[in-house]
Amino acid sequence: MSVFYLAAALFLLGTILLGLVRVLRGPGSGDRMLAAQLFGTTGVTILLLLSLALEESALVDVALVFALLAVVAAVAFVRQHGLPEPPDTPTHRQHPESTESRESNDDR
Amino acid sequence: MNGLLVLFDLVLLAGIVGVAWRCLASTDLFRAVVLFITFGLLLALAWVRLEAPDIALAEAAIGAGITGALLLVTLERLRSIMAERRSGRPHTPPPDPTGPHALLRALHDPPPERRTFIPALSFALVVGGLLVTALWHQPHSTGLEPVVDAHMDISGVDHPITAVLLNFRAYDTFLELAIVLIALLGAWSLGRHDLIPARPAPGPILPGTLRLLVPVAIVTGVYVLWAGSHAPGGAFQAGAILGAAGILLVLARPRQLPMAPGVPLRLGLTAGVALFLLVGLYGLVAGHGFLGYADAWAYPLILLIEVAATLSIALALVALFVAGRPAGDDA
Repeated sequence: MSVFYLAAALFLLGTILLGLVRVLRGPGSGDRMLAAQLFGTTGVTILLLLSLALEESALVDVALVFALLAVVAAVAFVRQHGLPEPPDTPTHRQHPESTESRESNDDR
Repeated sequence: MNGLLVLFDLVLLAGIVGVAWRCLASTDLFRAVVLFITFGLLLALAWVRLEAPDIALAEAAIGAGITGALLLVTLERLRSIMAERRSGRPHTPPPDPTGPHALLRALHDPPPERRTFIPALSFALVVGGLLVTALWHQPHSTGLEPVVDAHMDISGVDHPITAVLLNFRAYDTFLELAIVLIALLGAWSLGRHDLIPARPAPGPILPGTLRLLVPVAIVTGVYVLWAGSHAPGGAFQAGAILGAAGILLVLARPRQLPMAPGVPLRLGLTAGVALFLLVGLYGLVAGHGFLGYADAWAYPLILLIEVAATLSIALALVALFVAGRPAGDDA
């Protein structure tokens, strides 16, 4: 069974290397950041597979920390770049009253 | 099985070298930051393959979480500084994220000239050759593993790495804690903290995520600290996880950072070094040598030092992320 786990980990590592194309070519910042976030998810899976294949339970802790903290970079990114607003969808700018009700919901 | 492992290692190695190369050669700083985050992930996998899960844990916490956020915020600060210099007037909102690729390139040096190629290559060959010859004739030694294993019963803990870091070679760990503190003092000496550049993130996703994640991160940090006595984990890893939780809280309200109380903050930042030093001096007076413990007291003392060190490291990482002395603090 551990051969299967290792083969799966190797396959997932290959998908990370393929995904690097998106990081290198972009075009947008969001594309690059999302690719890195997906690498985080793949990395968690690789760590779990390796912990099964190599029978090292400590790797589960590493996977847990990875899963928890990969989001920190994403939160920082959203804070720096804001959320995308597609031009053709109705945004809160056209509905000021709905925005206010949503913000008051947030306050509670 | 072994063939697959070798193949995995080779692919991982190729990925690490390739990502490091593209990261250093990138003229787009944002792309370099994303590549650096990826580099941290691959490096953590490499530490796992080198059978060093303790370092993999630290790399996962610092490389994947904290450095990425730190570099992204720094990049945004750099952008606003450059924009301010160009226009000569103060700059309030961050520039449009899709537009200023030209600005990013201006931050970067122009690409190297062709005539630097041969000197650079010969320099790399000479240094590489020296390194290979120096590393080729290694004396055959079994390493420190048998020595550490023989003395595990007097170390007070069950995990050899923790025994080395906090008992046998406590001096190194003490100086590492001091370095973290000195780094923070260096950052504070450069001035007060600026506002962290931030855009509003409307909607319930960000606050909801933080409400779920921060408590889980705190529990995980305490767990990793506790696990350090018998499994991979310990003060540095736990401090990094708790520090990341603190950074999430800072990112939740970057415009309205609560005023850090001066004296408790400074006490917390120095707690690790101070307690370590006190215990070390007590060992000197009691005749166990500097940073030596009585055998019976080893476990409680190690636990006490690790708790204080975790607190100091977490606070120092958050303070380094915020950068600069707390505003309105003239002590």
